[in-house]
Amino acid sequence: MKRESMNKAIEERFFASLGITVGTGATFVLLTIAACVVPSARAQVTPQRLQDSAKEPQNWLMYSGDYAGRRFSTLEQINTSNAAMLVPKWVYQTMAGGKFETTALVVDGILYGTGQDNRAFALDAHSGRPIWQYQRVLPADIRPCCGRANRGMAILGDKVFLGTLDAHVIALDAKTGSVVWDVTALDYRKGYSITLAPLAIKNLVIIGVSGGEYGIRGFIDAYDAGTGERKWRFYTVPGPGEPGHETWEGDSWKIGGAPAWITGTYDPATNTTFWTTGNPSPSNRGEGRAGDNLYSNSLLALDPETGRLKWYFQFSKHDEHDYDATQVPVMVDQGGRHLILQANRNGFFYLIDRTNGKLVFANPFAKVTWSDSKDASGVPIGRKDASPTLEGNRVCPGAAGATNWMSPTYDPQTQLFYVTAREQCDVFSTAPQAYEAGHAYYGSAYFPNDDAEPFTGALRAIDPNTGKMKWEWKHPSPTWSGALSTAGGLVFTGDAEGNFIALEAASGKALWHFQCGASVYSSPMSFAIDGKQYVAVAAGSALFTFALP
Amino acid sequence: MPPNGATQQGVGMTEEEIWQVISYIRSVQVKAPAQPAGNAVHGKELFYGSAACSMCHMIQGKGGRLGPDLSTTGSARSTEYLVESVRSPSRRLAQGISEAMKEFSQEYETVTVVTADGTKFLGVVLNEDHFTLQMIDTREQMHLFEKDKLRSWEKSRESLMPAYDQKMLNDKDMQDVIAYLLAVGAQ
Repeated sequence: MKRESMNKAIEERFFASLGITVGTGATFVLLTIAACVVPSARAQVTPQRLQDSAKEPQNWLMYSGDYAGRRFSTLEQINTSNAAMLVPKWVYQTMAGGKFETTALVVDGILYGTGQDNRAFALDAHSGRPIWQYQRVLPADIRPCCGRANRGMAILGDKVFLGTLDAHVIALDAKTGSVVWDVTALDYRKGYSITLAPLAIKNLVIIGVSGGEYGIRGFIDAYDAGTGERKWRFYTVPGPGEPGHETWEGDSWKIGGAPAWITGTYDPATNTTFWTTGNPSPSNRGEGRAGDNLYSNSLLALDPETGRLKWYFQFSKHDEHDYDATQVPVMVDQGGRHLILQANRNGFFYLIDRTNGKLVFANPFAKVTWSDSKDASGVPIGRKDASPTLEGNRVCPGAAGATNWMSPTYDPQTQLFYVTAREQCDVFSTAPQAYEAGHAYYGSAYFPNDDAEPFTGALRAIDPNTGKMKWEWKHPSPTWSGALSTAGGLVFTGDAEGNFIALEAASGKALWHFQCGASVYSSPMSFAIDGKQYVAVAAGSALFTFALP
Repeated sequence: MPPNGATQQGVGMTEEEIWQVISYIRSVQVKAPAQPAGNAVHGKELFYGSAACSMCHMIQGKGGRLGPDLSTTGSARSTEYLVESVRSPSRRLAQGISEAMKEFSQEYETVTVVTADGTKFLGVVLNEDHFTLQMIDTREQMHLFEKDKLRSWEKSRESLMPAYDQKMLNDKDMQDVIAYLLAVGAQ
């Protein structure tokens, strides 16, 4: 009531300044006028706007830019002829240590991002000035495996949504940063956390959990965007009586892992959302969990309204090398086929028919030694002698994978798929380990390759028609940066040495670079304000934006 | 699972778990003899004298800059590692030690650069990225290059340090040098 009367007072003042007397029903008039004269007036982000994101290229409405997960911007002001002139426009400092992995959203001139330790912020995307800042008070005993990171938010209506390191899902008021609702997904003390950017579909906010290092039982949840009420939960490790349960030995399913820690994609044409899952637990020890361990390391096709599984495809069965399949499943239509493209952490590039989950082909895009054969349908099969041993067994890719969570991009103009590749092998070891709730549960340690072979990295352009590499841009060391492609004929990526780089999408030739001062640990995006295109990327503890002078 | 071990990667372990790991590492480490077998005083003479270690290596602020500072090496590396590093320096290029504040680890790779005007420099890589190279040459001069402006540059994992065979440093003298490194490292 208090807030309403305050709004009323503001309305009266506003109309008085225009010489208008406020009467009953004036709210509608206010909104109409405000849309014309008050720059801060913003339209709601409807489900339809999310679905039609291509119609508003000035905005970046979700983690991967569109429901297809292409991370492609149709903006072309910055292009191959002028990219060399790019300059930094503003920098936002989170003032926090650790990895800064966010992909920001931009909606109608406002940029929304997340930072380390569950910071969130809204900025004037033109100037970089903060509008609001939020930081969750986290318990002291949270157990994120791999840094106090968060990769971004979702937006729907007048709210933004984030997952937290203590496994909450939170809705913030997009205009103020106030908490609208806050629900617990599961008990963080058992090893659950959330690091991904949620995905909004219709009136639902969909999230998955992290915790594959702690013997969790993974799941994907959908929450009502308005109230926070949980609408469904899909356990990525089937329970007794459910299909797939037989792929787990004994009670191992209870602590089977299979987290879902990267944002999914969505096909409105078939009303299907695609999610990917991570390693079975314990990650480096298969003993005690005999079987394929469904649905670890899998691509899942789910009905977003019910969470019903339509089909699945498992990339690495009974994995013992931590080959999470948590890479954005990119939707591409090609040659009359409706496909999912994924360059997997296990080193293979997969084309999958997204209408039925059948493999089209799988080709290595990096050095692979864990597999040397395929089954009748072409699915790579693991070598028995690639299993970790007590003494250690050298296998490629290494524990960090041939790629990881950093986003790939698909450019419909070049029709190439660009992915950050990591060339690093590791010596995998295994040893028995008792499960203890909330404690690290690897069943091993892995040891970096000790033969002094340097690790390298590259951005690789893959032709999805053949699975063959068209070009690569070599990095001195493996990077954790994702990639963005744009209609300007460019691919943007970053490196571990701190460079943010613009490459010609057709050839891989470098056209521009900027030294950010610390490693790029995020996937870039692009937006426009007042007809000016920007490219933004998080590096070190700062969010950088670049544009033409 | 996102992995451990890369730049900026925290493992997210609790204090208790960190100590468990430390205890494990301590349980398997090769125990150094309580008393080094060699003569540290003579080792110091060799280090700064006929063995010429100090031409390239510094200890407590005294010596050269081309190779790693060895002030803490004695406490950080096993005797076997030290002997191997002297006898076969290219087998495992030295990595930065006790450099927790550095984002990059220096590997002391050998580099040969030819500038646009044909000047040649031989030295050690201090740092590099895709576009630039920072090096120190054998005369301890620093050079900061943009790679695309060079005529050529080539890195090698063949160490600039000579492999010390028995003629250059016999086993007895080797023990003395190591005794000196251990004595300094223990300080």
